[in-house]
Amino acid sequence: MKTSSTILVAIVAAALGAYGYSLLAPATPAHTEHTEHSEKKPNDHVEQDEHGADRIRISDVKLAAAGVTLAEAASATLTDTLAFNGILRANQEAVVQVTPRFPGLAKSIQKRIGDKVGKDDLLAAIESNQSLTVYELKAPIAGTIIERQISLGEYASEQKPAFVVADLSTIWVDLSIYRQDLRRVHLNDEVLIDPDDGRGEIKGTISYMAPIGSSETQTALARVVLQNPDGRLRPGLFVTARLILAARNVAVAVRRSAIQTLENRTIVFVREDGDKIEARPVELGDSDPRHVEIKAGLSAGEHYVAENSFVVKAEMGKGEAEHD
Amino acid sequence: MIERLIAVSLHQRWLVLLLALGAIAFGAWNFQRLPIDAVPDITNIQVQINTRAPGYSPLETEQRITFPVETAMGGLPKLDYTRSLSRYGLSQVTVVFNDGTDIFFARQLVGERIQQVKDQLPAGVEVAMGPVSTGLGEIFMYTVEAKTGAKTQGGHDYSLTDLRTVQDWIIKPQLRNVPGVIEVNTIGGFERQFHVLPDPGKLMAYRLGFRDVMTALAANNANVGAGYIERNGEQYLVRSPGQVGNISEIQDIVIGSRGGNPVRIRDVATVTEGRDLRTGAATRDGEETVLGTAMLLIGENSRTVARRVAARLEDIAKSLPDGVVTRTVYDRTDLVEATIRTVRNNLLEGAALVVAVLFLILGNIRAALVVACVIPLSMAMTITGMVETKVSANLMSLGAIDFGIIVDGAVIIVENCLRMLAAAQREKGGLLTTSERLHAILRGSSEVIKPSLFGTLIIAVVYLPVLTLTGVEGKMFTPMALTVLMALGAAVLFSITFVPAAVAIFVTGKVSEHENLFMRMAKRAYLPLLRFAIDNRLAVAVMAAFIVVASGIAASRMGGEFIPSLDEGDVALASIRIPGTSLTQSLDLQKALEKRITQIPEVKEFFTRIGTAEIATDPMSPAQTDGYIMLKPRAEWPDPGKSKSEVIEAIDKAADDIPGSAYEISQPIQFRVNELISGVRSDVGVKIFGDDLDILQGAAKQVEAAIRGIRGASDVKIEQVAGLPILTVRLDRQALARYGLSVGEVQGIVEIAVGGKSAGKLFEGDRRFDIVVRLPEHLRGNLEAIRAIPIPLPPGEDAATGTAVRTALSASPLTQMRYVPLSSVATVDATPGPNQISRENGKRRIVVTANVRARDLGSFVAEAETAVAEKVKLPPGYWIGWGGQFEQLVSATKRLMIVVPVALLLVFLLLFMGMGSAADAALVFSGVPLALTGGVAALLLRDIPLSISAGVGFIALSGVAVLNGLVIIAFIERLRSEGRPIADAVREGALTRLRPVLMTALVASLGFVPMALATGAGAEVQRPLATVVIGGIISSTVLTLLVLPALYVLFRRDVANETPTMAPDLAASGER
Repeated sequence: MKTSSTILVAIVAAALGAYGYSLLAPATPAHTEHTEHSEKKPNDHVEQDEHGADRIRISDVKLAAAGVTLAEAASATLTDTLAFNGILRANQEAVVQVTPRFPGLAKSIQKRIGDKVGKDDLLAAIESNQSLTVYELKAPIAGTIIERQISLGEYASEQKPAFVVADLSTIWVDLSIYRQDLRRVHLNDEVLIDPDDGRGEIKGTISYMAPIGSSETQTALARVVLQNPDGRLRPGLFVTARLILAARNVAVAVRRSAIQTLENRTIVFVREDGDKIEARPVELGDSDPRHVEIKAGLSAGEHYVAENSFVVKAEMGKGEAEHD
Repeated sequence: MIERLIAVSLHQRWLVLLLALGAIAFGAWNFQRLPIDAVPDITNIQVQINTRAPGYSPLETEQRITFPVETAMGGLPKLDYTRSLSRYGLSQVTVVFNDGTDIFFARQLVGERIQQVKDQLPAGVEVAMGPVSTGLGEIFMYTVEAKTGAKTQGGHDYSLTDLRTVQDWIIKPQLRNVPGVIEVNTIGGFERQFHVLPDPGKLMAYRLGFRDVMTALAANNANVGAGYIERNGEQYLVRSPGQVGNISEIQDIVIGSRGGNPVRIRDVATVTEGRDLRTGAATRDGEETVLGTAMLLIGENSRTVARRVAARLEDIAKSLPDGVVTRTVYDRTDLVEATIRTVRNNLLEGAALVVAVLFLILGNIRAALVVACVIPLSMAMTITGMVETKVSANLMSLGAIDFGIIVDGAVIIVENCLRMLAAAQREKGGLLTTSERLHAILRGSSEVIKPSLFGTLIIAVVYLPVLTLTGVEGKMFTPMALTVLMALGAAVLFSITFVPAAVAIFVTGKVSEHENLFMRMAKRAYLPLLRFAIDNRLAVAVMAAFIVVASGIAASRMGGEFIPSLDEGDVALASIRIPGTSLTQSLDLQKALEKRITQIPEVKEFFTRIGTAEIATDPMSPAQTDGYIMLKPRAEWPDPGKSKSEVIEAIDKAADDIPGSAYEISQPIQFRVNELISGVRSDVGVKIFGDDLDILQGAAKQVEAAIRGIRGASDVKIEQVAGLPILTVRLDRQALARYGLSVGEVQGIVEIAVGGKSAGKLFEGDRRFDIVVRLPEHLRGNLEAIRAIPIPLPPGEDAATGTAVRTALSASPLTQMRYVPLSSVATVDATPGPNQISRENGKRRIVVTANVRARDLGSFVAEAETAVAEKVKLPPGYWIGWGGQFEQLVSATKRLMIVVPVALLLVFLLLFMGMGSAADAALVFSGVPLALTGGVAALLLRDIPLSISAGVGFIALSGVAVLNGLVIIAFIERLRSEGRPIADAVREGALTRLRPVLMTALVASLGFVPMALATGAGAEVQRPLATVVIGGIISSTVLTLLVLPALYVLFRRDVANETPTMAPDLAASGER
C-alpha cells in the first residue's frame, strides 16, 4: 500500500515537475518582439574589399525610387568667386582742395555743394585782410563741389580749405581683403561691383593693391577704379564686390552634391559593374559653386552618384541605425 | 452555514430573484463607467521632464540641463530609477516610480524638484512635464488639410504654415477642452514667425550691432497699463498700446538716429514672414501635412473620449476657414469596438453552446436556462468588481473568462437537484408539493455544494501565482486573474443563492427521471470501457504515467513566447535612418516610401511623424520616423482571405524598394508602449556606465566582440550614440584678444546669425507669433557662408596713437568698416559628434543589445558574463550592468518557481482537508498532470507555441480537473462509507457521476470553442488559452472517467490503513 501510494505520488510529482518546467523554463524564450518586430539586418549587403572600401548592392530601380541620379565624371571649367565688402570713394587723385591764399572775408559765393564746375569757374570772392582787395577763388579742375566750408561774410582762413572739388567721373572702390584671401587676389583681376541699387553689377578690374595692411582690421586694400559717367556711384556708400577667380580647367570634376563623408573620409559613391556602388575615398581640389575638382580617386568616364548621394550613404549605414 | 444560506435563499426565493435583477442593473450601469481599451496598459508609472533648449547640441544639453534636472530627481520617495536622453535642442529626463505609486503624487514630487532646480538652468529654456498619459494615450489622430484649389483670404494656396496656424489657434484650443483629453500634440507644418533679417553691411554703415536691433525690437513692442484716473465721477482706465501688429510696423521701429535722421529697422534689415527651424514634420500618403494627436488622460475611457474628440472635431469643422478640413486618420474607437465585438461574440456564442449542452444532457430547458442565467449575473458582478478595483476591460482581462468553468458549480448543483427532484417524484409517485420540492432542492444543493465550492476554491487558488507576477507580465496578466477570480466568486455566490431559488421557482412540474437518449448512449458506451479499465488497472496506470511523461517531454521542447502580442489591426512602420539625416532628406525618403506603400491594395493610408513633435513625448531625431499604416477593412481587400502577416510581408518587401532606411514593423500601441517602457527591449542588454563617451564607445565595441562570439547570439548591436555631424566653431582666443573681442560676443553673433534669436512676439488677437532676428539665408546657409559671418569689431583706439606708419588705409574711410569674418577668429570644422547621450541613474551609459536564438537565456547570460568579464578591460570609474528582457524572464521564472509549487501544495492541502485522506487527495491530484497532457496535445496539434496565455489555460485546467476528480472520488467514498465493496462503489460512483462530469466537461470546453476558432481582434491571445482548455478537458474527462477509477481500485484496498501523512510532503517535494 505504502509503496503504491509512493509510486503514485512520484508519478504526480514527476508530471508536475515537467509541467512546471515546461511553463517556466526559459529554454525557448520569448520572441514575440521578434516575430512582430522583424528587425532586418540590412548590413548583409554591405561588403568590404581588401582596401577597406565599402561596397553596397543597389539596383538602378531602387536608386530612382529615392531620387538618386548618376552622372559621368568629366573635365570641367571651374569659375569661383570671392566676395568682399567695399566703400565708394571719390578718386583721391582728382580731388582738389581750394584754399584762400590770403585770409579775408567772403564777399560773395557763387557755388554750392553739388554744383558742377568747369575749370577756372568762379567759386567765391574774398576780400583780403592784408590788401583789402577782393580776389577770386577759382576751380582748379572741372568737377563737382563736394565740400564747402565757407559762408557769406565769414572769415576765410588760409589754414582751411574753403571748397573741395572732386572729379566724380571716375570713382574709387576700396575693397578690404581679408588676409586669408590675399593670395587669391591679383592686379588686373576682374571684379563685379554691386552698388545694391537694383541696377545690376558693374565690371571693373583691380588696379591697385596696397602694400601695407591695416593694423586694426587686419585687412589689406585693393582698389578698383570705375567710370561714373551718370553719377550712379556716390562716394561714401558701401558696396559688395565679387572677384572672379581665374577660370581653371580641371581633368576630373564632380558635382558638389556628390561629396559625402564616411568615417571621416571624403568619398564619392562610384557605380561599379552590375548593381554595386563603391564608397570611394577621393582627394578634392578646387571648387566652384557647382563642381569640385577630384585630384585622386576617380577617373574621367566613371559614373558617380550625383544627386541625393546621402541616400546611398544612409543605405550603407542603416544597419547601425536604431530606433528608441 | 452554507446550508442555512441555501435554505434562506429558497425561502426568500423571490427576493433573491429581485436582488439578482438588481445586480444585473447595477452591472449594466457600471458597464458605462468601465474603462474599455483594446489591450492592457503595461506602461510603468513615469513622469517625463522635457526641456526645450533651442540650439543646444547634445553635449551642452546634457551638461547644462539634463545633469542638474536628473540630479535633482535623486532620492525621491518611491523612485524606481531615472533615465535621460540628451539630444539636439532637447533634454528628456524620465523618472520612473515604483508600480502602484499614484501618478499625481509622483508628478507633484517631480514638480517641486523642478521648481528647485529651475534657477540652475540656463535662461531661456522651458522645462515642462510630459502629459499625464500612458502608452495607450494616443487615441485619436487627425490631419489638417486644404481642399484642392482652396484659397486663403489673401488669395493664395494654403501653405503648411497656414494649416499649422489653423491647427494651433483654431482646432487645438477647442480640442483641449474635451473632457478626458489631457493634451493635443501637433507635428508638421511650420510655425508662423516673423523674421528680421539684418544686413550686416548696413548695420556696419550705421555703426549698429545685432544687439541694437534686438533691443529696439524689445523696446518698441509692448502694451502698458497705467492704472486709472477719475473724471467727473467716472473711472477711466489708462492704457498705452505699443505692440506691433504687422510687418510694416516692425519695419518702422526706430533703432537709433544718425545725423538727425532716424534709422529704422527697414533701413538695415528685411522683415518677412518666415518658417521656424522645426524639429519635426508629418506626412500622409506622400505629402506633407499637419498632424494632431489627442492624448488621453490616465484612467479615462478611451472609447468615450475618442468619440467626444470626433464629435468636437465635427463642431470645429464649422469654424474652420473655407476649404480647410480635418481628416481623421486614427481613431481608437475602431479597435476598441472590434475588441468588444470579439469578446461579446465569444461570450454569446459560448453561452449559447452552454445552454444547448445543458439542455441536451439535462433534458430540461428550464434548468438549462437557470444555469445559463448565472452567466450574465456573474458577468454583471464582475464588471462591478472591475470598476471598483480599477481593472480595465480589454482582451486580456475579459478574454480569459470561460463561462463553462464559471458555471461549473451551478451545473453540478442543478444536476443534483434535478436528480433529487426526480427521485422524490418517483418515491411519491406524483408531483411534489412546494415544501417537498424545496426540501429536495435543499438536499440536492447541500449534497454537492461542498465539492462544488471546493472545486471553485481550488480553481481560485491555482490562479494565485498569476497575481504574484510583477512588471510587464504582472500588468498584462494580473487583471486577467483578478477578473477570473471575481467571476468565480460571483458564480459561487449565485450558485448558492440564486440557483436554488431559481430552480425552486422555475423547475416545476414533472422532472423526467429517465435519462435522455444522449445520456443513455453515453452510459452504454462508458460501462464496458470502465470495466475494461478497472480490469486492466495496472496497465492503465502505467499507460497514464507514460503519457504524462511523454507530454511533459513534448512540452519542454515546444517553442514559447513570453508575452503575447495583440493584433491591433493596423501596422506601425518605423523608418530609421543614419544619425545626421536632415529633416528635409528624411521627408523626401518618407514621401517616396509612402507613395510606394500606398500602392499596396490592402493599405488605406499611411501617415508618419518625423522627428519630434511640439510636445516631446517621443523625442526622435529627424532621422527617425513613426509611420502608421492603416489597412482597409478586410471586405475591401482584393483577397479578403489574405492573412495579416502576408500583408505585412508585402509591406516589408515594398519598403525595401526605398533605399536609405532600415525599417521596423510593429503595431501602433505596441510601439508606443515600448517607447515609453523603453529601457532595453532586446533579450540581453549590457549597459556600460562611465564618463567619457569615447571610452564608453570603445568598451562597447569590446563587449560587442565578446558577445558576438557566443553561441546563440544574434542581432548584436551597439546603441548608436555617435555619428551626428556637428559644425564646431572653435574660437581662437589669441585672435580674439588681438581684435579686442570677447568669446561671448562672437558666440552671440553666431547664435543669432545661424540659429536666430527670438526678440519678442507679435500678437494677432489670441494668436502670438515669434519675432526672430536671424541672418539672411544666403549668409548662413552653408559652410562658406558661416565662415564669412561678419564679426563687428569694437571701436578702435585713436588712430593717431595706433599707427606708427601712415598707411594707405589710414586715410581711407574703409577703416570705418570694422569687421572681420568669423573665419579669422575661429576655425569652423564639421566633425562627427555625439548623436545622443543616454544616462541612467545619473550616469552616462551605452548599451550593447543582443537577442538570443536557439538557446536558453539563462546559460547564455552566464556565458556572456564570463566572456565579458574576461575580455573587456575597463578603466577605473567604469562598470557594467546587465539588463534586458531576460531580467523579467528570470524574475518571473524565479517567482513562479516558488509560487506555483506553493499553490499546488495549497491545493493538495485543501484536498487533504476536504477528503481527510492523503491518498484520496493524491488520487484526485493525479487528475492534474493527466489533464495537462490533453492541453499539450492540443497545442501540438494546432501548432501553437507555449505562452503565458497557454499557461493560464493550464492553470484553469488544473482546477477543472481537480473538481472533476473530487466529484467522483467524494461520491465513491460516500458509497464506500455505506459499506459497499470497493469495485462496486467505484463502478456505481463513476456511473452516477458520469452525467455531471460529462456536463461540466462539455460545458467548459464547448464554452471555449468560439474562442479557439475566433479570428477577430484579440484572437491571438485567446486562441492558446481556449485550445489548452478544450484539449485538456477532453483528456481530463476521459482520464477522470477511466483512469481515476482504475487508479482507485489499484491503490485503495477495502481495509484502509495507510498513513496519509506521507503524501503531502512527497507531493511537495515533487515540485522541485
